[in-house]
Amino acid sequence: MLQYVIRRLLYSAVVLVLASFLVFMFVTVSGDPLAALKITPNVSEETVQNIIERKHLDEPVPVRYYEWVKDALTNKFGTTLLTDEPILPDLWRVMKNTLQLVLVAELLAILIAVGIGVYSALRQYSVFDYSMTTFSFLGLATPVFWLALMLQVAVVQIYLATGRNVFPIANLNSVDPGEGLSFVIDRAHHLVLPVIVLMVANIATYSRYMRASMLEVVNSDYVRTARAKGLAESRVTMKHAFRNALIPLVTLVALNFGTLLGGVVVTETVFSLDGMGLYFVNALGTNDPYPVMAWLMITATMIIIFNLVADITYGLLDPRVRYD
Amino acid sequence: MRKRSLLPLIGVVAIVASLVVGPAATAGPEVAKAGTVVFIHDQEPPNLNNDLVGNGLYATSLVMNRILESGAYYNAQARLVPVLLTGLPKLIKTRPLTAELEYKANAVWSDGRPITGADFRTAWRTYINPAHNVRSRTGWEDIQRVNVKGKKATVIFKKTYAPWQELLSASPLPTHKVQGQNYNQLWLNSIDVSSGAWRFQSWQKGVQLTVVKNPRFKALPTMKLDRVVFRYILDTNARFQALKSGEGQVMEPQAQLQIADFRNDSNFEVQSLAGFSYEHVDIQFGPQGHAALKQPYIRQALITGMNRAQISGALYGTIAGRLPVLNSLIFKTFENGYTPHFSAWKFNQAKVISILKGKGCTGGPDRPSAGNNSIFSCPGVGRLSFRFATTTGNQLRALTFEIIQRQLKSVGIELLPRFQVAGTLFGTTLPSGDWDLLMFTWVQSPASKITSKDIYSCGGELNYMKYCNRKATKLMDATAQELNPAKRQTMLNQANALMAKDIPSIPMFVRPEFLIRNKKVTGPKANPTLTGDTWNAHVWTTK
Amino acid sequence: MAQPILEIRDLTVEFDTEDGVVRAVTGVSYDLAPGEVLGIVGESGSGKSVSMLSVLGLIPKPPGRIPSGHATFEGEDLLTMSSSRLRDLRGGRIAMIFQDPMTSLNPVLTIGDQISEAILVHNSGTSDDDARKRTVELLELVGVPFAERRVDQYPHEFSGGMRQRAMIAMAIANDPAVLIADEPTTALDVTIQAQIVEVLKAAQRETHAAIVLITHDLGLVAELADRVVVMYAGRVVELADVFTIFNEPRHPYTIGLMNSLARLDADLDRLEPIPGQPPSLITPPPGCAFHPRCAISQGRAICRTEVPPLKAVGVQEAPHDSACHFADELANLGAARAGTAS
Repeated sequence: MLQYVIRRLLYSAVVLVLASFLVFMFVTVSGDPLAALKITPNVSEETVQNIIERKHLDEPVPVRYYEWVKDALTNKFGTTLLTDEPILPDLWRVMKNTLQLVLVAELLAILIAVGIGVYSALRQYSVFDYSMTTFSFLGLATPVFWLALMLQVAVVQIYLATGRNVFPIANLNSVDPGEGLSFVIDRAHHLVLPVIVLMVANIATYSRYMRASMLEVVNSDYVRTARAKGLAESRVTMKHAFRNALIPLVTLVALNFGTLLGGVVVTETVFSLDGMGLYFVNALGTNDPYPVMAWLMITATMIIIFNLVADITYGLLDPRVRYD
Repeated sequence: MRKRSLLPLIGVVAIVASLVVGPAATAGPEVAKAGTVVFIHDQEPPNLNNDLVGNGLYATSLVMNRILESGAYYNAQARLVPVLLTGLPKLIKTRPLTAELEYKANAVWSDGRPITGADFRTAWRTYINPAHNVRSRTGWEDIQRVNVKGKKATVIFKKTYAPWQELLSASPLPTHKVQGQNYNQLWLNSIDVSSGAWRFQSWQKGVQLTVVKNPRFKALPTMKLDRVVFRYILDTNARFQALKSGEGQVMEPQAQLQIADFRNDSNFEVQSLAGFSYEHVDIQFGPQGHAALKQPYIRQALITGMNRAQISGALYGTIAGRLPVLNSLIFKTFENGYTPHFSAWKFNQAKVISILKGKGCTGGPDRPSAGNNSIFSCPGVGRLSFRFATTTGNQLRALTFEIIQRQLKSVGIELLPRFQVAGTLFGTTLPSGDWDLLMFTWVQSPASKITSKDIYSCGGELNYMKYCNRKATKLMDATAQELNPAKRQTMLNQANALMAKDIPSIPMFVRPEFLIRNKKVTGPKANPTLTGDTWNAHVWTTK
Repeated sequence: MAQPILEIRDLTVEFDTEDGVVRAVTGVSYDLAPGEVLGIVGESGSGKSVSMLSVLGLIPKPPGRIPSGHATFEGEDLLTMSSSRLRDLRGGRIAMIFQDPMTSLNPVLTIGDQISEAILVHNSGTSDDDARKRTVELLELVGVPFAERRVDQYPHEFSGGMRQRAMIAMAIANDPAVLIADEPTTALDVTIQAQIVEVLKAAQRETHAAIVLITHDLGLVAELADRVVVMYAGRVVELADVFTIFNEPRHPYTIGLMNSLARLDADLDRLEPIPGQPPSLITPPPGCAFHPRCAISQGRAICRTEVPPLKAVGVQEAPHDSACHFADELANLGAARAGTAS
């Protein structure tokens, strides 16, 4: 197992380096970060020169890449191009915000989806099953930005009708969130709508997966054996059916989670949440490769780690799978 | 089984319910303490030092202009009025250009130190320091020397700098805070001093920036509010929703159709006024532009074929009422001295056809018609099919283009869309000259006209059209050296008259600026200049 | 017969499907004596497994249902007792071994875990340690080498034969009175089959359980069974002790089965299958379900109109029932034919 992990990490390192070079090249050649400056009247020539020297903008791309690597390793990913501000503090801040949002959304989605999937499978073709199937299709078909906007509009309409602000519709916290517990509650309050939006698509996917997996297991021979042994139905379902049915879902969740940590751009934009997705989009918009690369490195590492976690977990849960 | 798998579901419902019941039970609308106004904005400052490159944004000036207050600023009528200065800077001598300024006796920094002439000199020294990544040194580098005495400063220029009065009205910088510091790293995330109505309190990046009353500010009446909170909401729709639901009280929206909602809502007041930004269509005279555009009659046909009034009505009718068409490339419609030289070109479709036919163009329609598909070809220049470039992703610009395209197609002129991302359009395309018609906005200030030469003179720094009229150039170059405002006005209008004949660029309309305030807040008044809509924040009150 | 341990009377099992109602088992009756091995033979779809599964409550209802019948075990009717009482018996007094041991064992739990589970479910006072000890004993009993070590292995680490041994161990863990073996050797290769037969014999010696051996392998029946029930299209068509079934079959279907066997003691150029296809259980042929394929029906009307009842064709010391209108005509046929069989 250890050998397997090490080998995977080595391959991943190669992938990471390759990805970093490609992305750096694309961002660099896609546009001139000084474009806006150059056509703005009265911009000081000396200042523009300073920037060009500081960020080696007159050098060819491979040299600039090398400079970036140096900066990334020795100077915590370096500083932004125009304003020369350190990147890492901002990145940590947005990372934490995204983590909060995504973690809560995923956990809730899993809990609900597993419940729905199991119950649907056990009560196949019932009213519950059909309505959950419909809900899943709707959830998958609904565009995220539309759902987010509809929720905001709904909340505002409620406010206009009753004077009650049931949920805040933007940002991470209110003007005076308070300290300690009050801050936490305020933050949770602000995350309710974004979490709902994120959950919908995930619940739809996960519950379908869970249902399919559960159906397959529930009709299997070993479940019949378990019943034949005289086990109570609840025990049969939980110990024999449910645990086995959960395995493919665990893999899916682990893989999905890695990607989510790169940020959920649309949700973050509509709700103005200070997260990784928004950070990336803004950085890209300024054609500044440094923050984009920093974001990429973190996101790629997360994805690689979680891919590995998915594989290892699968191996742990299913003894038929062995890694050498 | 059934019970076991329902348990998590119940747990989840409980969590969600507690989140709803708990806070909702105690919260009203999101306005916090009394004496606070929440100002919603669409962009967060990258840092607080507005002089550095990468900054210079309106978003930053909204906050910082009342922390590092100006000597004088443009009020809502676009007149320069003294704030920290006793009066507008005075001209002492013209050769060399020498002027004098004096700060008010009660002008002090928030830590009690008085604001003196030395603080103006500090500003000058800071800006011309080559190690500082200052955005613009224009004007400052023309200063030879600054002599200070107490509250007074005497500024001597190396060469004539026409907008000197605006320059000398700039904010003084606190000598005791700036001296010896690396300006590139100063005041990035916080600032502990203030000369204006408020001082910085806290900045929660990605969410909000809070400023509180500066009780030591006496140059104007002290701020009435306790606090102003700038909340940054990036999504357009979310901003409007937030305003509606009371999560913010004041907002400056871009021209969006949602504004119409608020005009009809008695809880809100919508102010709209013409600003200093204007939309225009530049015409390319250079070798990479369409050959036809070098012919005056073609340019005349273009402007005669565009119904500019219809366009502004279509764009802004529901949200700002009727806007006057702009008929000068130098003055704005509301400015003293505005002379509509371009109004000579009245919209007349039949006239377009007769102009073109008169010059021997063939292949086009005999009469203007909406369904027309035949395009004119003119002798020596070919088919009248022009590339029309503008920014992509802008609803209003897309609409504008559609209307123009339709109008010109009816008279046998074809426009081909070349929409590009702003970065590419302004960074590569515009400077390269490889375009035919390009539509964009100049964002200007009251003093911009003084340097019209940058845009319209032969070889001007911003003359991307490669337009060259010697007479107009002479007039505009002289303007930049002329210190007498009345003389400047005359010369500029002469230049404008010449350009109205040449038509290097088609002025469309002045873009309206909007300010929406929740009627719970009194005081906010839209300011068309870059002073920003917080110019009179010291008189704002809230219920 | 001494008091039977299991009495099945008039059992009918139906399934609702999209194509109609499938009558998997119709009016089936037979007894199981304590300690005997009863073989139930028939083709796929004859209802031999379904009759046992339904009696134990292991068929899904819906779509299945049992409109009529009794299954009396030690005085209680399995079909009407409470589900908790039935669960008590299942895996305890009545245990079942299934056909494919690879899919019949939970792949993510150890063998030991699954066997111990069977023990713990029916003996709630037992400690985990004791259950484990007993599990190891059982594995040794069924012939799993290095049982102490292998008890912690997973099903995929066992070979096919070993897995079936483990299943048998699981079934006999609680000293059942009835052991139902549903095609226990079908999924195994021939050499392993022989081993499993030995294990079953050992299991019976150990527990003195009655075994219901459901199979289509006549060789297995010949080796293990005391009595044989022949089923066709959901009904019992013949019922007798094993010698009689092989030497004097009195139903055309049974005769057809015997004739189709490959034999060591005869020189055959071709095997003789029973002509035709198994009947549809949704719309079975009217009258005797076997008549379209029957050699002796010869188109007689009664075969097409009346379902032949299961009636005695033997003597009291050697009970022999057959469901054929013309069973008498078959009396000498079987004897002559089976002359050299042992």
